[in-house]
Amino acid sequence: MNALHPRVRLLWWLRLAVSGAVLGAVVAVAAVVLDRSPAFGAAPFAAVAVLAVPYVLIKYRRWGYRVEDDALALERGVLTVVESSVPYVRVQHVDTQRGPVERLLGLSRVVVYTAGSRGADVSVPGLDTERAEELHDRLRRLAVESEPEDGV
Amino acid sequence: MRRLHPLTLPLRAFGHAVQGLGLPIFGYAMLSFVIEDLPVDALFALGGLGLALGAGYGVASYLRFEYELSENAVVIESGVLARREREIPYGRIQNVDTERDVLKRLLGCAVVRVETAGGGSTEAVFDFVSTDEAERIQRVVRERRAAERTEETERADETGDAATAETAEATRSADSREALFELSLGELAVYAFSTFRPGALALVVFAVPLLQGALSDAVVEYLAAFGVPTSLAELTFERALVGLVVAGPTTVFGAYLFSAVYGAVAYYGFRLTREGDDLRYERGALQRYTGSIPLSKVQTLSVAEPVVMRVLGYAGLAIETAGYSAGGNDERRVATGPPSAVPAAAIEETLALGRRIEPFGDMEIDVQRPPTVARRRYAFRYALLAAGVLALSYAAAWALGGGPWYVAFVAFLPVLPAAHLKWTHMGYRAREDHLVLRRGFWNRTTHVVPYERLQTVSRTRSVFQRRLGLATLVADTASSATLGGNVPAAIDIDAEEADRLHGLCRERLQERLGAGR
Repeated sequence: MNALHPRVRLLWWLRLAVSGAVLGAVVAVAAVVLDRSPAFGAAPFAAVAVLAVPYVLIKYRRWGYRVEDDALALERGVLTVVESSVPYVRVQHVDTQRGPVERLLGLSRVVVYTAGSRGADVSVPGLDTERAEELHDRLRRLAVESEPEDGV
Repeated sequence: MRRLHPLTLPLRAFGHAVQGLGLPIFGYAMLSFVIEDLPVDALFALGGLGLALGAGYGVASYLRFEYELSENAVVIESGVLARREREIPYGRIQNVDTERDVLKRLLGCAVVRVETAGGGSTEAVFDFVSTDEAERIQRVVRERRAAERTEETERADETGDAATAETAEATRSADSREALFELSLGELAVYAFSTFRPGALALVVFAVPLLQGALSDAVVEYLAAFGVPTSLAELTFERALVGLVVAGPTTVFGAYLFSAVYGAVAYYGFRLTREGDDLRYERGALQRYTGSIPLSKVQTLSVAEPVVMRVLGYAGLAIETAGYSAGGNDERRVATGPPSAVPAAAIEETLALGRRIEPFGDMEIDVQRPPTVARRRYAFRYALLAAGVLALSYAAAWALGGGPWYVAFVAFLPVLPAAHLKWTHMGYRAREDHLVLRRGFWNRTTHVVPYERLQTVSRTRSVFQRRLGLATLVADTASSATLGGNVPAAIDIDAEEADRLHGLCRERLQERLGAGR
């Protein structure tokens, strides 16, 4: 299995920290309304930010992808571990996406679309630009070579 | 280019005019809360304007909707302000359905819907055309699609790698017509009384208190006769308990009856025919539905055996394609229940019909049940639920000033049987050409998934499953709605076995697709 770029851990942690901050802000506002110190908001934020560290580390260690002969194999998940395989014949199209924070960190995400009803789009996050391009091209080539009829 | 049925014009003009009138009235009513002494003249002026604009929009939307069944595609040009041209190639069309409510049946008209595999919503809606035109659209799509498939296989023949099965299927005359199944009244009754629509429960719970007058009084009196309190002040734990014991089953039973009536009305006169490469069904007592299911696009077969049907030796069959399941898209599914190719019939008849569509062999798959640790898991899960009920009961007794809260211990009685039943009705088997997956006690569903239809295959393991060495294998196909709303999956099977199955699915998918061309 190929690991993701280590910097993706920072991205994941930042995302969780932001949700923690939102939660903290809500608690702080509630505290002010109830005539308490807004400092109460710091507790949920700190809890989320701290707990996010082991979560992100486990998530990173679990995450892996491999370009196999017939399918893209993925392994991921912290509480529920999911191992899936996306056959190239089923690939409808491939995208590379870069959000604003991802761009700052120099990371990209390759998204693979299938016609399936659940998990119809599978994404591989945390790839540096070069590897994202490489994976994107490779998947596209493999999808074309395997010649899907209409993907369903 | 053609237009919709001429009667669409007055109906749309009227409908939009009412909307156009409603907006100013609503606005006026809202504003009158804020501003006093609004001039009434303004309401009349704006109302008139809204009426005229609405009617004009309705007329325009009729005039600006044109369609054509061209050589290769269904072509639609529509839109009053933003124009849209849409071409749907015949080969991509999954289903063509019609719907006729009572008014449209009187007028000899129908709404036609064209579905493809892409997108979440219906690709094209003809609202509405004459019945003859609806039939023409269905026929043209079927014939052109069959013709395209024949050409394709002929081209493949020349290169010498045709799939024999597909050639046979495509060369089958596009005109041949054969009655496959007709629902008898007895079968309709079995279907209606065995398929419970959860929506009916919500309807009874919310509708009964809303009914004013005689009926509502009758309900209150009926409940009072059992000692159910009619006001909160008299509420004690014992009375609440009696209320629950009386009202609970009564509500469920009422919903059951309601659901049965709905099912009977929706599936009255069900008929399934084969026309060329398509299956075509018709159903409904008041609203009449027809739909086409292209056999070349079947994703999954589902055999439904709710408890009542199992007791009577009956079963139903649903055919899922990538457009949506035959029977309707999601919002219509809520109203009409699970989609059916055979709503209910003696199990052997249902299976025989299913095998003609997809030769899956026999259904003896009970042998491969999940390991017994899975059953322990369910028992634990249900025990937690029962403990929750007990806690609620304790809290209620405390809130209502005491009472025998411990009666809630009965909630533990069904824990073990329930866990066992859930477990017994689960099973899976990897057959030569199909993956067969079964689950559910109340609505037992058996999915038959041909390997060549698989999309993403996943093995998932939750924290608890990992501790017990179990895993769930999810076999996703392109069918957009599966019977029971579940993705076909083998739940809580041995982790290593799941891994093996995962590999097998991948292998077979490649083999089948490789052999198919």
